[in-house]
Amino acid sequence: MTFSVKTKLLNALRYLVLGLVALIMLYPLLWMIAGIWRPNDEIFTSAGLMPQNPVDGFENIRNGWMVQGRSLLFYFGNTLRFLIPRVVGQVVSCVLTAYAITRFEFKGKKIVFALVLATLLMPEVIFRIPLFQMYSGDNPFGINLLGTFMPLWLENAFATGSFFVYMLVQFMRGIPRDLDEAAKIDGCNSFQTLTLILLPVMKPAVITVGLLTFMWGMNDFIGPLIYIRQPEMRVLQQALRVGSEAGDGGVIWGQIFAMSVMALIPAILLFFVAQRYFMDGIASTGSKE
Amino acid sequence: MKKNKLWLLVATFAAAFLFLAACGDSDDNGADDYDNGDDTTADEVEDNEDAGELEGTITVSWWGNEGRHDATNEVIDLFVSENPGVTINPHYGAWDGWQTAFAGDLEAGQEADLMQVNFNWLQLYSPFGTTFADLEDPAIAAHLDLSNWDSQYIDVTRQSGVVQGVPVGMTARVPFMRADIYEAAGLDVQDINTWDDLIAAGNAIQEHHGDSVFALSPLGPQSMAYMVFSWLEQYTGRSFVDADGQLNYSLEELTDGFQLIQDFIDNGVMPDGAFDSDPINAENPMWIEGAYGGVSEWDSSINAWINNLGEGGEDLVEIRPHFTMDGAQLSGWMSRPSMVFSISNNSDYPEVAAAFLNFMLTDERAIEIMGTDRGVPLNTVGRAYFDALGLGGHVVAANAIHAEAETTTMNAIFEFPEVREVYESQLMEIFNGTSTVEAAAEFVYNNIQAVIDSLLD
Amino acid sequence: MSTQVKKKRAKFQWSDAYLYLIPWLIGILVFRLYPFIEAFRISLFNQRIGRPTEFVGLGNFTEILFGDSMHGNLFRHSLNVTFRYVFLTVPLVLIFALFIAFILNFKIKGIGFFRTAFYIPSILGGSVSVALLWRAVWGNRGLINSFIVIIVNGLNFLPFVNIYAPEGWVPVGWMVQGGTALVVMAILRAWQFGSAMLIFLSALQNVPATLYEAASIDGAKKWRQFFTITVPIITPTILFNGIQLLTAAFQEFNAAYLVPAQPGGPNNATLLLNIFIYQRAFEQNNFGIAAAASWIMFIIVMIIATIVQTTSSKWVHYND
Repeated sequence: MTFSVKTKLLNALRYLVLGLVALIMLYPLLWMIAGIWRPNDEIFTSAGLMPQNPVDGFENIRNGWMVQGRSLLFYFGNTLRFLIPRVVGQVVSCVLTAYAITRFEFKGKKIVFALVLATLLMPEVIFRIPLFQMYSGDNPFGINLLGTFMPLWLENAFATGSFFVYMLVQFMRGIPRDLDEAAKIDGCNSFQTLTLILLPVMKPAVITVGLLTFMWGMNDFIGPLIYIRQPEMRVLQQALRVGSEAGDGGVIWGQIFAMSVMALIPAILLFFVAQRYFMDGIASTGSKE
Repeated sequence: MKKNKLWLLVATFAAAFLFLAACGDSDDNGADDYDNGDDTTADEVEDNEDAGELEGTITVSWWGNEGRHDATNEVIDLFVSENPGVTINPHYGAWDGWQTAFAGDLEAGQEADLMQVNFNWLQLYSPFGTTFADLEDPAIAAHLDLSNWDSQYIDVTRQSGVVQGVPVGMTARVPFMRADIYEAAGLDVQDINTWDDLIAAGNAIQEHHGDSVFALSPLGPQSMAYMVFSWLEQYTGRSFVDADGQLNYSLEELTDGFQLIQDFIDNGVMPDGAFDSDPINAENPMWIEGAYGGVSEWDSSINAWINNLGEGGEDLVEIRPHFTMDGAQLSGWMSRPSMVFSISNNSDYPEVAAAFLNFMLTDERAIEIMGTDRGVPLNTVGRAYFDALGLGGHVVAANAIHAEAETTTMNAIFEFPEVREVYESQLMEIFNGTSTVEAAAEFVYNNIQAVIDSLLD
Repeated sequence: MSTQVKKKRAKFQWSDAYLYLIPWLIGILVFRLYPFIEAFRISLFNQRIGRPTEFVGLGNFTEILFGDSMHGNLFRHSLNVTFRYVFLTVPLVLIFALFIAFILNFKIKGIGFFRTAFYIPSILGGSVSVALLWRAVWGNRGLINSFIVIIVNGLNFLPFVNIYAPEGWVPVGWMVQGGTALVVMAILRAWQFGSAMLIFLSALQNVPATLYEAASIDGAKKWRQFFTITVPIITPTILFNGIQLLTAAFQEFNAAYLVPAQPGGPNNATLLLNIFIYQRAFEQNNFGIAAAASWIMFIIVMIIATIVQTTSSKWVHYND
């Protein structure tokens, strides 16, 4: 065979494999979307994608949009109320920490890094109850933070996201020191070096930290479950659960699927748009130490 | 030099923090040092016979579906409009995860003033009657009229003699049968009364419909246990444990009881563990497709199952009384409160909570608003109003079928999670074919008393 | 004497880094070390809401590690289950993720679409809908078994082939048999390989193209290049991903809780450690045992991670 035919064949093969795997990955989403147009009994007995006895899917969508008199958008707004401080706090504190670890020599550096890694390995389940007690007033200041969104983002503002510290450390090790030197010669102190010189270079990594924090935060259910009780403060995940509760008349699963799919849209859109930065962002975490 | 000071500061902070945290923890369980009923409010209230000017802010928490939320909120609004000095903050949500949040709150002393509580949780979180407020406390009793409840129902919620909650309704597992499946096999569901009838029906149904259709369904660990222990009650005339918490059955009796499950499996009443990979709930595909001739479900939960059958589902399902045997010594019905409402021991306004609770459960308008959203009311006043509403449907009918019967109230010990773990795991082994009936019964017989004893001290 | 004093001073040199680390320090003391130690303290007590708290010292630990109670037996069983799950899942995810990343590494149109598509399972997370679908796929009458039945029926048309396949035949009880149930859980986790794949992909894109060109000129095929060039260069990424996945797999909860017919699976075949802990803490109101089990989980993860880290020098090549 000629070279170009072989390449074309190989390319076709790649697309085929990719397409098949993509189908497997997307299948649940497609199945859920198909389920919006299905009656309950069909949903539970059919794993295929074509509704046999279609119901009014658009009604399901309309009904699924509101939970307890408020729209999903409202609950999304509540999610943002803790998610945005969380993202900002996480990014700022992790960058500061990574900066210290990679750009300075100081006593205890090894211990600090070891502790970062150690906290990475701690199971989250250990923290739940003690932290809850602490936030509820069992602290030296006697402050009770329940009823606010603070318990959901406070710790992120203090570099507890060890995964991201680790990732930023990897990335920063790949940035040449020449930049720092040049900044110093121009009269910058360490803070100015960070903000004016290094940060622009780190943009992809920083966006990655923000993006992942956002995505994981959207799916966070246990956190809001424990800390948020007032109905008007409920976040998207909680609203989904409330909307899915089987009741006296049972539940319309098509509506639940409609709700779930709509709740996924922000995350999917955000990811699709940002995946370009995302890719460059994690770029230097692998091939360097 | 700077460095020294900084480390010193940090170390002090850390040490102080740890020290304070350690000290701060000793009284968080609510178990040890809470006084009951020494509130100053007690004196004030005793002087006003009428509730008069109620004042205070309380939080009320409950789980449920949207219907229940809407109805309860409406009741709250009604109460607040008639008691302008009162503010009520509702906390409600889905069942999913509710216990986690509830337990966390209790642990940290952050629970709501008035809480909807799953019945098992009374024994789970307040075995000695110390976690929730004593509802017989004069301050509370002035607003919550416990005489509206038959005393046997109030006794059920006593933990170490202290009334920890007020039952909203009584529930039991009721057999709901698919009349159409039986009819096709030439049987009338109304004729299936005894266990033997059921076993014969199992064979008949399999003969007609084939190996994949059953007289009942894979019951699940909880229902299997209820069936077995109901059978044992009928057979021996004794319930699970005696007054001292000793297991009431001999090894032979236990073995005979467990044999029931094996008989079910061998005779087409229920499949074995390999048949169905889905949980036995309203969404089960085999139920929807008509492979299961009946389920055993709480009286108020049947509607979801019926709904999923599609159009005309409610005509296919019939309610039956509990299966019995000739010469049954007890009815076999084991009932328990569906849910209770409890008042927090840390509440600043227990009398407001009590007044609202009383309103919600006994006021005529409140009953009308709630409908069946919390099942059929148990207290006599509420029940009268409820009956006057003339509501129909499966929930009401299912409740009627056991409410009038002689039932045994499920013993708290029977529902302790650790105890359940012992007998449910063995029943599951029989179900999955990984253990013989004799070995399973023996395991339970040998181990359960130790577990019970360790929980009773 | 003066030299000694000078040496001491030199050791305690101030660095601006300490200022930058203040948030981290507060964070780790208040939000990590304190709850951590508190959890250890709880594990030394018989701590249950509604009961007086008694000090039991290491009693909780000895009970779950060596005791013959339900707690003990179930704990050790769940350790066994979790270990098997982790050693099933981590290699599976690593291999899938690397394989897909490799294919996605070529210049392909629509790469943004494919990346998003492959990441979607991870976005779906541990939701109820995913659990429903997983049962619909792997259930006794699910998609996979239906497929097998179709194939077998087709084969039965051939002469000499007579496979017994009656009406309602269930080829494999994927979710009802202990052995396969765990594998199905592992596949569910592996299906959500999105994050690992993206990390591999970026690492692959960082491998200098010149190396490949040189190898091609020398006549090496693509696959050989993959194993001799690519893999060694990305070994640090493999390590990073491996440790991440290891920790995450040990803490798996959602899928194993939602999917099986009974939580914990048939006869507790999929009773992962985190489910055991959750059940003790929130369903059985036994925080002492739950805390003790969490601590043991931590120690195990630490040990394994340390082993992986220390042996890593044997197979990981750093580039600087």
